[in-house]
Amino acid sequence: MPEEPRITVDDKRSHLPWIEKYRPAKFKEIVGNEDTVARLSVFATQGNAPNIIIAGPPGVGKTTTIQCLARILLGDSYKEAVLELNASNERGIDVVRNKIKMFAQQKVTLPRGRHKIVILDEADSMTEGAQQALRRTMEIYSSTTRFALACNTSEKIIEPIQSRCAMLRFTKLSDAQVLAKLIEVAKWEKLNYTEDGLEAIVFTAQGDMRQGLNNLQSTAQGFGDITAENVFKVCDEPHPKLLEEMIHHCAANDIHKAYKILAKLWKLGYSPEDIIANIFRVCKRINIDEHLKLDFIREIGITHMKIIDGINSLLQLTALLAKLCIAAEKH
Amino acid sequence: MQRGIDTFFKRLPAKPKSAEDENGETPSKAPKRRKALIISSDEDEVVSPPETKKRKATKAASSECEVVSASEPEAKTVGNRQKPALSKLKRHVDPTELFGGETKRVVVPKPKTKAVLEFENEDIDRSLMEVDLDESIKETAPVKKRQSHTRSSPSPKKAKRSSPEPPKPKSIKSKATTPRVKKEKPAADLESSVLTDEERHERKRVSAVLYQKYKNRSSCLNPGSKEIPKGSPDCLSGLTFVVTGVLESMEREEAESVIKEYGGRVMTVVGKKLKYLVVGEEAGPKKLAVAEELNIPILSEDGLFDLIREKSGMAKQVKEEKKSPKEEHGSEEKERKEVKTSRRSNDKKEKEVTKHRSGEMHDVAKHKVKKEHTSPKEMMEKLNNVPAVTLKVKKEPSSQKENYPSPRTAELKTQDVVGMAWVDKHKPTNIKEIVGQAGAASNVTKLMNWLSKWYVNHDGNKKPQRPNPWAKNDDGSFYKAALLSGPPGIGKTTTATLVVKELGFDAVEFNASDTRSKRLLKDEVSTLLSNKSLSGYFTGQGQAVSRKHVLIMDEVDGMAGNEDRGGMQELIALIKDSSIPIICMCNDRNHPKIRSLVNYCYDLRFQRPRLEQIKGKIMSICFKEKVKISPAKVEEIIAATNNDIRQSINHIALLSAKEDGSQKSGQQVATKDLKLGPWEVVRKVFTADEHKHMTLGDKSDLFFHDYSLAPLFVQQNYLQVLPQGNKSDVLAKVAATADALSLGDLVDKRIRANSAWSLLPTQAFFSSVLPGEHMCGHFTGQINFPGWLGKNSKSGKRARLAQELHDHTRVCTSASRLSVRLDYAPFLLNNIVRPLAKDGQEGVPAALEAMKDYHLLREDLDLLVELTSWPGKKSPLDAVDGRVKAALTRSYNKEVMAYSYSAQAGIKKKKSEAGGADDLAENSGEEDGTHISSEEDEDKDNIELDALIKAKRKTTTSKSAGGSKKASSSTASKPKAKAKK
Repeated sequence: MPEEPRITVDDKRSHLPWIEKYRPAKFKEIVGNEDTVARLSVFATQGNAPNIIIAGPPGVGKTTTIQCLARILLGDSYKEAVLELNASNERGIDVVRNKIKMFAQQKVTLPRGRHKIVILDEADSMTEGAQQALRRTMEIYSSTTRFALACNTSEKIIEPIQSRCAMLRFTKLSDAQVLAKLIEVAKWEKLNYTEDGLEAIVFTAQGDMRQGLNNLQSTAQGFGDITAENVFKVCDEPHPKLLEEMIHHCAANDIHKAYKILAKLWKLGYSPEDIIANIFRVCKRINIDEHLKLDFIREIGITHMKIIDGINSLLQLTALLAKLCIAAEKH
Repeated sequence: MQRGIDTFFKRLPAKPKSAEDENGETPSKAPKRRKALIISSDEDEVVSPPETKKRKATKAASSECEVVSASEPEAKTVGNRQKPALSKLKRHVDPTELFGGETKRVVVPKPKTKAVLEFENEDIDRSLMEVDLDESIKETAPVKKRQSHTRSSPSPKKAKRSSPEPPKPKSIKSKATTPRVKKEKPAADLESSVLTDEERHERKRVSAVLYQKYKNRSSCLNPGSKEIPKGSPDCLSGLTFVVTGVLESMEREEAESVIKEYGGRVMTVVGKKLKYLVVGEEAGPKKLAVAEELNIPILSEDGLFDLIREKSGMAKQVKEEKKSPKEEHGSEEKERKEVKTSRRSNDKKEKEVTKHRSGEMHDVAKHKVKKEHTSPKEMMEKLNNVPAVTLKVKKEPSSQKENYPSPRTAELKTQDVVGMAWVDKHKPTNIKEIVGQAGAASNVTKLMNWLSKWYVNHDGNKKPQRPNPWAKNDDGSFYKAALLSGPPGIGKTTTATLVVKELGFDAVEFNASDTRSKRLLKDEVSTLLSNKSLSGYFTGQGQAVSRKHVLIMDEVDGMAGNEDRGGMQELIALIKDSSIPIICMCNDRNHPKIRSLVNYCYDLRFQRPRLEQIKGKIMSICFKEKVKISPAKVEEIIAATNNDIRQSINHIALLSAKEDGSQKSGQQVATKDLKLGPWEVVRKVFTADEHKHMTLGDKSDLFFHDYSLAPLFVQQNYLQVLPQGNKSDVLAKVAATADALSLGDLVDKRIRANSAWSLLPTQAFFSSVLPGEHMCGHFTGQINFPGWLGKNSKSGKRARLAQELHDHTRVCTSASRLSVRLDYAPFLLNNIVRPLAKDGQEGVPAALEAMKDYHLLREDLDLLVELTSWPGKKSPLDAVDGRVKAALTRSYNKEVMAYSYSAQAGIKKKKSEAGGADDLAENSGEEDGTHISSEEDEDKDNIELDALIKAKRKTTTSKSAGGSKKASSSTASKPKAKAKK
């Protein structure tokens, strides 16, 4: 997405998407999973890191972390000593046997304790055969080459590979962490923002920093100011605040008020699937009695199922409200 | 949890084993005493004086039994008194219900017991009563908790003091000859052989009752009611504990974890090494009795907390009353410690002379030093012990240099050590260092024997017999190749390379990173093998050119894809006429790709080493690398990697980087990094303790560890959970859980059928979070693998059988598959089998007629039997004489012409038997059905069948007699084998 000229930034890289522009280059800048990152940063200075697998949901900084590690470890010789392959590269069994093995066998002059690094991004998309072929290579050339794998689901990495690596799990970023970074970026970009606007972005991001930055950028480009209203115009979702209010009404056994909100959302033309998915999400985080919450989630789940089946009428959603009220009354 | 049950349940039969375990965990005693350990019972420390032999074994046996049975009813009555409501429930558990045969409770007559013994029993009872009384006070008046717990701590001590054996002489002589000691020992030894049936039964009954009690026990009374004191990190180091019974504010596991956290060790068996017995309500009477006898201080839960506070120098805040018992206790302990230390130092000298594995030695030494120096000091001055300990540990290496010269020198030799990964750095360099491969029956020894005898066995002069696959002591002399199989990270490759090195062979290695296609194997390998190695010249050690090669085919399961096509066949061919030994390695020997290979290989299966074995290794690595990680942490890591040594080392390497930072936080987060298996997930889902720190989001994340398997696991195991809270609500909770699970299943259906993945979070709630919330409690049994998977594959197979039957009878039936199964199959089978069963040989024509009418194959008869079988029902074919069956087969082959499908069926069968790796898809579908029917004669025909297949593929009719009769001849091979039997 090209940057529009009216946003004036003194940076040369103004035409980059923000996610690239603000990609951390140092360990310090990486947000979240501080402990794991800190441990890696120790390796970055000392060298001799074990083979690692970083697993975690998208947008939490897996690739960034590995690149940071490689850059700090290898400095100027990054170009020669790093082989980076991701899902866009061909990574079949022959690539592993030829390209990676060749790379592992190459001699690159590096300081003591430093090793060549093979970065395999999105390693869970590698075929099993390719992973099998990787096994012994990882071991035999461990005196010269280390591997860093990133993946979303570690289960898709075969066990022998996992056995050869130290596993690091990255967790979703907390809302506060995302928010802090967003504020920082907004200041860099000299944006006008309101607090609820950023909060709305945080909500839509769901702990995914990349998503958050993308949303921030598209809101800024589309509307200029970061307000809750604008954010939800861009990331069109039923407003969580409204839904939260609605659930609170249900918990108070007040179906009339709850229905008013639902009717309003319906009139705005949101699809029932969006509505129900967001109700589910909101309900998970809402602050009501734990047992009641579980009852609510149960009812929401049933309705969700019906809607997925194709019965996506207003009646179903209304029935959900009624059921929630009954559950609240019983409670 | 499981462990707890085990100790209760297997206590009697598994005694020697537990003693051994104990031994493995704590290698801190001198070898001399170790000998005694192995043969003794769970009172493993009790060393018998020589007089023991004089005593009659029977006497001893009965007396021990007596002790148990006497203390048990006592415990029961105490329980009654103390809380009627619960005990009523428990009393209903009639032991006879558990063991059908028994009619009445037999009170064992005690003709040979001595007066001393009775006295002791009384004593034990008294102490038991006292302990329980305290508990009851606690329970009836929880408001007065403070008072009661202060009272509770002195009382056991008093009880101990009043006991007939004063602590002093015993500890000094250390091998005190108390009457009980004498009796106990032979009892344990001979219990299996000498006990009369009645006694054995009685004992079984007692333990059954105890187990039942254990199962019905209440969960902790007021969870979280007491604050767990925050002690200094290593305040319990060097102390050992056994936790028994139900504690007031914690689950037992929790208590154990608290102890471990503070550096203490938790044992499962009461022995002399034990320092404290932590007792809760309904404690095991045996443990109490033994502890009493060994003068082990008995602590209540509060006592434990006080101990933590005291050891970490926080005693002041507690109470003024406490001082007196504490001091007593302290002085007592001091005495004992002193005695012990003197003894220890003796031991130590012995130790230093004896050579041991260095890793273990470090541990031991560390422990010892800690104990020696801290405990007396601590008692006297109540100083914080930490600096002293660390100082000592650091000094230790210099004083004990002789024990581990090897790592040192190794480090010096290889200067490049800085750049090496830990896994490589600490790789075993000789066979003895391989973890878990020490014994005579270990795979290393087997492989070594096999390899060293290879050239003798295969010099072409003799033809060894193919061994029976079930033979125990097979040395694999028949096979030209060995297959090492086992999970990753347990040392298969290491074993192979080391064994090869040890025997002075040259290894040619091919692994998954090499292309291993048919052509390549043929060309390169065969030329390679005729080469001679010059490596001897260069390393300067070997005089002559080595001629002994070994081909190591690593990761044979990694032969995949187009490039490796035909590699497996070629490998097998290579093995068949190989002139050198071949070692293959794979992870899963049941993989369809591997299965054909298995037939030609000496099968060596590697098991995961036990946690203790790995722990020793890891701790020694930690020591060498000067990384400080608590033993509990190490255990956690090993368990999380599922006993994978390599990954454990990797994790340790990663953890080590955090040394300089804030240690506490660093280590805590690390647990999150580790992967969770489904077993662990399901345990977390239901365990109440885990729930305390988890948000709803965390709980639903559990589901995502493996969202395809997790719901099955939850469904399989939710009934094993005993939920917290009122017992009468259990059924309602189970109902609610079942409801949630059924909804989860509905959701699952939609996800899979319509790929509505947006429902996945919903399923997480239905299939995992809601059940976990409803049934939140603790597990009472083992966590099982979901039975659904097995049942599902079985039903699939049955459906396939029915389909086959349907196809074959198609010409003369008009029914659907379902109705063939329901309406035809039972009667058809009956029609065939009845004449055989009734008339024997004369019934054969009638049976054959029935088969002909329905165009059935001989194999279809077996298929029918399987299809119509029900659990508990006998197969009708069992009633038929074997000769009659053979006659039927013979006449079938003679009379019945081959059907269009019979040839196909026959060939298919053979292919799958030989396990041709090229028709995998077909194979995997086919394997179950054919294997059962042809299991018995599989091994006999294998080679023959193989030959047939080859002939077939090349379409040369020379080998198979008569191309037209191929089908019948192929089916004939089977009956032949059968007839031989």
